[in-house]
Amino acid sequence: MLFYELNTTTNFTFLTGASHPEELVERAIELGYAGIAITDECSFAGIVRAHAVAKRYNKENRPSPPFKLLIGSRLRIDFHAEKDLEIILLCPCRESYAELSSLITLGRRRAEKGNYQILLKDLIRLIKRCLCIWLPGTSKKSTTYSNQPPIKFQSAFTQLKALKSIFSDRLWIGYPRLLCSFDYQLYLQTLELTQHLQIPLVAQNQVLMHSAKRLKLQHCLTAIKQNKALQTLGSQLCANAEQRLRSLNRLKQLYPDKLLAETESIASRCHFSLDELRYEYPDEILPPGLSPSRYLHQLSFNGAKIRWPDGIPEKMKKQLNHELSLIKQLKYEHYFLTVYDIVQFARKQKILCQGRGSAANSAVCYCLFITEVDPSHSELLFERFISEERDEPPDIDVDFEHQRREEVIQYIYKKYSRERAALTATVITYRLKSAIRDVGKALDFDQTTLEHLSQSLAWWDKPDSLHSYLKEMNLSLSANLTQNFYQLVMEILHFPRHLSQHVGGFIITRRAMSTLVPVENATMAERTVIQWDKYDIETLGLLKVDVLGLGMLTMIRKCLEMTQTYSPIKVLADIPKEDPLTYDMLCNGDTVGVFQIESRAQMSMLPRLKPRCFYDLVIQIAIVRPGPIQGNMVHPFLKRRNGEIEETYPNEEIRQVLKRTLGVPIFQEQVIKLAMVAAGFSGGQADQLRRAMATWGRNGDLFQFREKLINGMLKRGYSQDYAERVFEQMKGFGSYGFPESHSASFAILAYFSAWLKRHHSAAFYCALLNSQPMGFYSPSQLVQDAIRHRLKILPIDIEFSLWESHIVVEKQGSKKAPQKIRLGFHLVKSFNKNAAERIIEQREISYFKNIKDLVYRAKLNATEKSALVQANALPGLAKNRYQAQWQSLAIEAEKPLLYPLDTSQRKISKTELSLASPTVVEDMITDYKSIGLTLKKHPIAIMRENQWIEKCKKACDLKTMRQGQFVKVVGVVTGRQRPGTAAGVLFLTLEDETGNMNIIVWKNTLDKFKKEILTSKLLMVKGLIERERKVVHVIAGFIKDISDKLPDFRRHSRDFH
Amino acid sequence: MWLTVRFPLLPLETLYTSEQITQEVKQHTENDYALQKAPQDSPQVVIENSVIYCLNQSAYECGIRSGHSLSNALALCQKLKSCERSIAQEKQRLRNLAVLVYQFSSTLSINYPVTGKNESIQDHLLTLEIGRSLKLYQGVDNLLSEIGKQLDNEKTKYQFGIGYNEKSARLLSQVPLEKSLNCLSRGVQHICDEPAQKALLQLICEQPIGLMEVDPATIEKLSSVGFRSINDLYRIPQATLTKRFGRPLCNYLMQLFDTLKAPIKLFTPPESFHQKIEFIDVIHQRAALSYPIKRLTKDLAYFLRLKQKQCQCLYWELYDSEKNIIGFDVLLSESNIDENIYLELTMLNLERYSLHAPIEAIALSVNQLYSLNTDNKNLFDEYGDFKQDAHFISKIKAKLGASSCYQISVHNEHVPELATQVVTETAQHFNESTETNKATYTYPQSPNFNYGGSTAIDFSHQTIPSRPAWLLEKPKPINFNQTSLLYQGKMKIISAQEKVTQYWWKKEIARDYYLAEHEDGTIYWVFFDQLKQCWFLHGIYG
Repeated sequence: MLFYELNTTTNFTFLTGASHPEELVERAIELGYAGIAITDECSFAGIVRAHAVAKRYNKENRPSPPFKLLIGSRLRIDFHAEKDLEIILLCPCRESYAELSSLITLGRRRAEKGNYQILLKDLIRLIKRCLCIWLPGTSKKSTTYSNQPPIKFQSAFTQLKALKSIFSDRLWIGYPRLLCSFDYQLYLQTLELTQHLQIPLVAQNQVLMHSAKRLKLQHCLTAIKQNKALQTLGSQLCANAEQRLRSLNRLKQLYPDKLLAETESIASRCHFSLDELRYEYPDEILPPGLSPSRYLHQLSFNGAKIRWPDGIPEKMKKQLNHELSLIKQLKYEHYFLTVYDIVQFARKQKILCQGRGSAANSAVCYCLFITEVDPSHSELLFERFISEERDEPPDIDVDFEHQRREEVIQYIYKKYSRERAALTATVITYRLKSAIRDVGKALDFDQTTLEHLSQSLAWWDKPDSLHSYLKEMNLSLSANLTQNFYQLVMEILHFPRHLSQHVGGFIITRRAMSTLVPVENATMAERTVIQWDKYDIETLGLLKVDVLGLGMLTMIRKCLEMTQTYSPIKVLADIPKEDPLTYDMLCNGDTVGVFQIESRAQMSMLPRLKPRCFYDLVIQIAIVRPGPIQGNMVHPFLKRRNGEIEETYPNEEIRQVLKRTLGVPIFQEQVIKLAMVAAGFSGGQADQLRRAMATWGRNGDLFQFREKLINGMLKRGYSQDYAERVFEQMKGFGSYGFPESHSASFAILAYFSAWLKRHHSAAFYCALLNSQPMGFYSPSQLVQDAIRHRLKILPIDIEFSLWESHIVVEKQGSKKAPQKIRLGFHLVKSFNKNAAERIIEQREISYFKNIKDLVYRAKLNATEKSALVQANALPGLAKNRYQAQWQSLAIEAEKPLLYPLDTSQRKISKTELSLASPTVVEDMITDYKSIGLTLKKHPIAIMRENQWIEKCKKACDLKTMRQGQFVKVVGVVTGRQRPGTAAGVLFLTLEDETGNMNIIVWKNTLDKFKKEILTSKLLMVKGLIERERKVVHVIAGFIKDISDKLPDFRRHSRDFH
Repeated sequence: MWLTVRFPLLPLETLYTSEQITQEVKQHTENDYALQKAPQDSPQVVIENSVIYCLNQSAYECGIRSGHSLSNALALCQKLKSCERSIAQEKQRLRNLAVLVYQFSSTLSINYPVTGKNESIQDHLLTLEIGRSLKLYQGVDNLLSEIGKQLDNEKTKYQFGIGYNEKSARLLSQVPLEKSLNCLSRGVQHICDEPAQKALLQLICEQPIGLMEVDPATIEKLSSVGFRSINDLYRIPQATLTKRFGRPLCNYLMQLFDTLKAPIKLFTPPESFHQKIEFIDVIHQRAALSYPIKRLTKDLAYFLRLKQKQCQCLYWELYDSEKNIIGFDVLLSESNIDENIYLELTMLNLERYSLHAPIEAIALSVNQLYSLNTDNKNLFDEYGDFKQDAHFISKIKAKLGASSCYQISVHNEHVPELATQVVTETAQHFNESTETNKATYTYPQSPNFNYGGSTAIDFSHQTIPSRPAWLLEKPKPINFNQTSLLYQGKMKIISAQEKVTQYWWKKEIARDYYLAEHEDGTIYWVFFDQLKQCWFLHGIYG
């Protein structure tokens, strides 16, 4: 007799199931079940993972009959106004799968996120083929059985009669034997129902866990779900661990044979497998009468003619043909055409975009204008990203301007309709901190202890470190509760918590999406997401297009709009390549605002790496990443580049892989290729390795390759040491490593933004201010940097400012790059674009005569009025901001009846008072409060002038100081950073009137001056100069909080803990 | 003349007094405890929604400020102690303090912290008219020192402020007291005559606008025009100010400058006594309870003296760590006001109770107060008045001892001994779940329910309730020979297994329950303990 478990809840029924789908399938196989049905509550979110395990098992072991995965869902249906009818629907065929998926979609779309509502009439309307098992006796609010009397006979009878009329011979009664006090009564009740209604009885175990060991976790999940301590839940918890996968022998003891045999008869009617889900491409993208391959061919070669106006180079022609034939062979034309279509839309709307991802840097993508990275300059192999062997869809992510991405998303929705386009989900899983918080709360730990614990843990801490923290907090590790806490935290890690919206992964189908996968509401209004995440989609081989937002593209587009008013630079292609002046600037580390290389770490690396060509930038971007840093690759690379160490390679094969990065693996592709040539990995294995690296940290898959890699390398004559080093580097790469293709896509934007900074600095800073929030620096820091680049920044003024900041062209028609920026109203806190537009409209009619005139004509409300006054944006109408505020407060909210008759003459209000002018400090403080920056004196300059601080060096002085020299500096704290790679070191950035200073605080100093570092806004630091060529740091020895010198001074630093 | 007493740390003291009491209890029971560091020295905060609301000096020195998030505060100080704010307890404590201060003046108003649209008060305040008490106490200094003594006994931190009216006193309680005292006219006593009032007004005008009890948005607005001190506002016409900053500010200023009388809500001491002390650490020994009991009875006696009342019945409640409440009345044969008698009788009564779990809190309530001269009836004069059951029960309890009165309380738990507990409590503890265990089921004739070919089990007992009527207080180990269970004869299992795996967070329980029929016909409830690997008898069916 074959047994199939027909009621299995995985942890994708969030906070209910206590096992991963993979664990359940593996355990069912181990116990000798013939199959299992994954029946999460109104969800298909876990089925793909279960399917992958079952499929792999069947492929590797070829059992007969194969292990069967049934697809279904458990539903609570509103029968009599409340959710008291509970059933399982199983999918016997593809059509029934579509029915159930549509039903889930309907139920989920009807309710807010996380809930669903299904009515009996929905069943009648949508379900024609699904099999149904009626479930008796669970208490309404939970999935667990309590010691309540099992069922109300009469209502059960009514429910079953209703179901019988819908399902007729596709209906069963599921009997669970869970060793509770009422088992027998329930059996008698169900037996009587079957006899009365002629519905067969089948065994089902209400499974919530794969093993009895998960009982504690299940209790804990129930407590989290109820948001109560589990000690208070009493009978709402499972009474015992019987809701698990139990051995066949045990089941035979518990159930009459007939009930077990009935599972087989149900399973024998189910033939559906997820493999049947064939992806059907949308048709809209093809012009009538053209085949996809013909059309793609045509578009590619048309594009190539534009790319190479002097004739397509022979090498490129060959490359294009090669790629096109491979795409044709794998039938991926639709994918490229879909991406092309979206990119075309963006280009028409003048939305900048840039493709990246594995297939993005191909010749085809270059010719389709999906990317700007010229394939003729790189050595990327197309097969590496799209190959027969891998048999998985290519991956192209397209970045769009972040402020206009929504337009692209709306275009997709409009073109394919909401029924056929949806965003993929991201499964939010438990991380260490959330696990500690939730498990702690469930076990009734007090809040301070939990806060303490999560506080002590940093994101880079490995889970095992929890043990040492528990010890530090004097929690007895042997105590029962502490042990349970630790064990539960470890178990709950990586458990799915809820589904969230992926940043931009779209899936587009030919038929209604809901027939392929259930769609549910996202938190954001008007957004829907499917129940699968990108890994599920990859597993099933479906295609997805990533529509992502990138601030830098917004900035570049805005910058080009400005440059074209006075220079010939109109589009990205106009920007000259390999400009030496730009590289000179980069070598000096002058990169505030430049894409990807503006961080402090990148800035320190630039003068050392000295990029002189595009490929140097590609390396620069990839090398300052946790991967290469943890893998100790940075110094060897720099030494080789400076000629201090000779490049050596164990053999020619390795030289081929590593020569372009001077023998040091820097890109993810190199590491994979290394595994192939040095350890003999096959293409398939290398691909598995790539996936493991991508998900490293999520499931720790990488370790399974360790032995294979090291043995493979030893066999091929490499030393143990070398092999270990390669594996360490591989580990470091994980999700932090950069593929070369990504790095190249980023490098081109880095180059463009650097060129704009070097040659059109006013437009560059102005565009940066207009594209906030983005990048590493606050508007204040950007303005300070702009001033240091000798630009003139003009204040916000109702007579001159626009909504956005703009460049001021001195003489119309001048070809000289302007040097002035007028700040815009967008910087004013609590102000809005409409109000700004009303002001602009009115000032074009006539000047504002006084504040009252401004308020009435521009229809400013109290908030808008106050925001402008606070921002000191009315210099022409009042002596100072106090005076302006005093006047503005007297203006009545409603416009008087006779206005504007009395505006002809400038009237001075009788109540106008001569108020004291704000002091320099007061002005500066209000500037920061209202617009986040000041154009007046820098706080440190004020302090220096007034001799509130002792004599200290300025940031500009540091450049000329020698190594080891003692120094005393003061500055505004603009950044605190404690990277996981730096062993407790904190990097502090201070700003004074002449520039930024990099302070390094070692761990012991940090411990000593923790209070000063964490709480103050103004710091004085004494320390020693540490310099390597042009890179200067101050190693802090003594830190003093000097915030009390400017009591109300408030400025936020950007902290990266 | 008005005096304001400001309690800046009251939220903290309210919560940590309990700790202090716990410490004192320990000092009384463990001599060496006094050597340990006093708790006030360690950084302590009170939080409200994970944000620091109130903090002590040690916490301040660590760099913590109110408004910080708890996680930020913890980053600054690993050893920080925090408690969630309890507004109810704070109010109670301020009321208790008001009762204490009431003896110095019956014109007393009470203010809790509030941030509203019209006013904003930061601390807990008591404001009292003291002009009329000056003669009695022979001057301000004596009066303040007397009030100070009372408050010092309460171990509370306070600041005084003196003004010519309620609002001015409240404002000046944020300024060092000497400054206000210097303004008063010096004679035999400090008095608040006209010149003194002018000087106080001058002092008020020097203060920053932030000290005014107006909402933060108005303060923000005022500073945006450049106003820094109250003096800046003093010279501005009222209409001009009202137009720009609204009526509430003007009213406040007029009340502050004494050009408008402010309505005062006077405090009247409560008609009943209720106080509760929660211990941070639990108390294990009965003897150790004497200290908190003494403290509460002392407070009661003080309260009664103040009210010129006496009482006849003290109601005590002890809260133990298993969430049980032991409540008992201490009845006095005659009304009186002697704290020593209260203490003695309470301790005597307490001896009748066995404390099953450590005590977390203790509360004393007296609801019925009698005038000192009333001729109260003897307790037994009311004999025969059975109308009020609860009262009757407490009388019986007082006479027979509460340990003679039991109540069964039913909890919704899987573990049988937790599901029903015998408690010495009133009927409140019955909960709805009692219903579930009452149910017995009658079902159709049993079919042949064969358990996989093993011994077929007779289900003729299917009408037996799921739980036995009599559950043993402690499961009794029983023997098992190869065929049957032995307990004063043989027993055989007659039911299917019921598994209970639970309670792992305290002490793991893994039991398989069965019904067993004794050879004498009695039905027993037995279980096999999976952890100890042996059989136990747990209940008997009636």
